[in-house]
Order: sequence, then C-alpha cells, then structure tokens
Amino acid sequence: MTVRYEYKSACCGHEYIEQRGADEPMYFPTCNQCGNADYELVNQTVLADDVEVSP
Amino acid sequence: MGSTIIPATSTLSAGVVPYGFTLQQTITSGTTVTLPTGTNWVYAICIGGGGGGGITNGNSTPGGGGGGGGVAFGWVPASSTCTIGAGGSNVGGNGGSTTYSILQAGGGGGGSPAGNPNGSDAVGGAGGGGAGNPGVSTVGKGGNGGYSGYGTVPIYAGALVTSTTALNGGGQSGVGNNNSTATYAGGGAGGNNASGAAGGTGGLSGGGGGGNGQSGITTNVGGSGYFTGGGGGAGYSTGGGAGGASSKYAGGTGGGGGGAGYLAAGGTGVGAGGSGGGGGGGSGGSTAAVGGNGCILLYY
Repeated sequence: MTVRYEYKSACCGHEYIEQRGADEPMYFPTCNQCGNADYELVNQTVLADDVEVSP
Repeated sequence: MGSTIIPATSTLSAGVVPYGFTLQQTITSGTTVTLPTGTNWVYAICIGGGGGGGITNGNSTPGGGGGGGGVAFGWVPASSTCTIGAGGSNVGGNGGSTTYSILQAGGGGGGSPAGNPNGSDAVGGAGGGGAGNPGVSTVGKGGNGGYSGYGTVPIYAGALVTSTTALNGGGQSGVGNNNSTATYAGGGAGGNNASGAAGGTGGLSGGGGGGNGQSGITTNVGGSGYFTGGGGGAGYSTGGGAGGASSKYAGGTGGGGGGAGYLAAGGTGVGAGGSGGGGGGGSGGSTAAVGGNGCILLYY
C-alpha cells in the first residue's frame, strides 16, 4: 500500500512530501530547509495506483 | 573565452545533488506524482533498484553481490507519473529501472547465480559480481557496468578474471555521456579462487563483489558509490565481503553484506541492499539477498 505523507517542519514551515509504502520508515525526518527541527505530519493519503504490473 | 561545461570527474558525484536547492519530495512507491500547481520543471534524481545477490552452486561457486542501482538526474519537464525500480531477486536478478519524465535510471546487475559463473551486466547500474570456484583458475567475470540516460557509449566493462591472483575484476567508474543525465557505474568484480575480487568503486554506483572460493576471505567487498553501494560477495563455507557504502550510509558487515542505498544502510551477513538502490549480498548457500528498491528525489 502506497501512502503519500505530507509534512511541515516546526522550525521554518517547510512543506515536504514522502510517498512510500506504509511499512517503510520516514527517510528524511529532519527539516530539509534549515535542519533545526523535525517534520510534523499534516496529512496522509492512501493512493489508489499501487498495483503490481507484470513485466 | 572558453567555459567549462562538464565538471571534473572527481567533483561531479557530489555535484549531482543541487547545491542550494531543497529536497521537496522523496518517492519510493507508487506510480503517480503530485506537484504544486504551476510547477513546469523539476530537478529529479532517479535511482534504479539494486541487483540481487547470487546464490551458490552446491557450495562450490559462492555467489557474487548485486551491483548498485544506476542514477540519472537533471532538469526535466514535470510529469504526473513515475516507475520505481524494484530490487533484484535473491537469485541474482537484475534491479528494475526507475523512470520519471524523460529520465531512466537502470537497475544494478545481479550477482552470479548458480549455474552461471558470470555476474550480470547492468543496464544503467553497476555490474554484479562473478562467482568464485575453489581449485579452478578460470572463474566468472564481473558483470559490465551499464550506462544511463541518453548515453550511447557503454561504461567500462568488467574484466574477465582468469588468474588465481586476487584481482579487482570490475572496471572502475566512467562517465556515460556528456549530458546532464550521464551517470557513473562501477563494474562488478569477477570472482577468484584464491581471493575474492572487490566490486568496482568510485562513481555513483558500486559494483558487486565477486564470490570467492576460499574460506575466511573478506576482501571481496562491494564497491562504494556516491548514491548506491554494491553487495559483498560470498565466501566458500565462511567469510565473504562486506557491502559497499553510499555517501550517506554504510554497507552491511559480514560475508555477503548488503550494499547501502541512498536512503538506508545495507543489511548484515547475506543482507538485503539498502533502500534507494543498494545491491544485495551474495550467498554461500541457497538463498541470497534481494536488492534495495529504487527511488526518486524531486527538487523544485
């Protein structure tokens, strides 16, 4: 299951998105803009396009 | 007055990540991409899936490690679709390609599986490691490193290892083409019956280490790369090489350690490749390790 996670940093308000499997960890938890705080989750959406396609 | 368009080889790797730009999206799954309204161009980095580690052939030809996934990057027209390359299977499968807009990053080559002593050639990524074989002087060659983007000139081929002397069978990294999507790919290392050969290193993607035919050998490490490391090769009965590192994470320790990806470290001891294109570790048994899935990084 693919989930689109939308984050906003508590420091400078940078908005950042990770689109990953529900069982995967967050890859960049600290603000990519200034690095002074971690991101906070503001929204998440399960995507409907997560289908396996045979080669 | 002339100007320098193509950066020197020694600095291009680090320069792939655009200085002063902020990472806006990391994508490891799914087939759709949502961008802010009005975004027409983005700077994208695509990383292919890592190659899977090879397995043994009755414990006589320990498997090679998978090569790290290839990398393609540049300013591209915005697109709403993508493909994330899956890591190669645990029987030496090649990694899948990651695509976004006009970019395509090939997967890493698989390590030598049973019945095939040669590591797999990569299509855009680094080559897989060849197999070791005790008591035999001619063993598997390392897989060729691939090329990426719009390149038409293959990168250095992995060398055919025909000696009992330890050799670095993999070709070192080379640039694929003089455009913004060119990539580097270290060739996979050939196995050796005296000492496993290390995977090619020094570019964006590291090659898989070759399997070795002697117990306790640990020199057959996976090659390191700026984005993806190759998996370590397996040893005969015991030993084997560690996985290669990326610029952000370490490869897995122990025989057949997984190569690091750009997003995660490699697994230990016949370990899976790290997320973001790490190569899987080779195995002296019947089950090796899968490569890490690819990813897309977007800046805009």
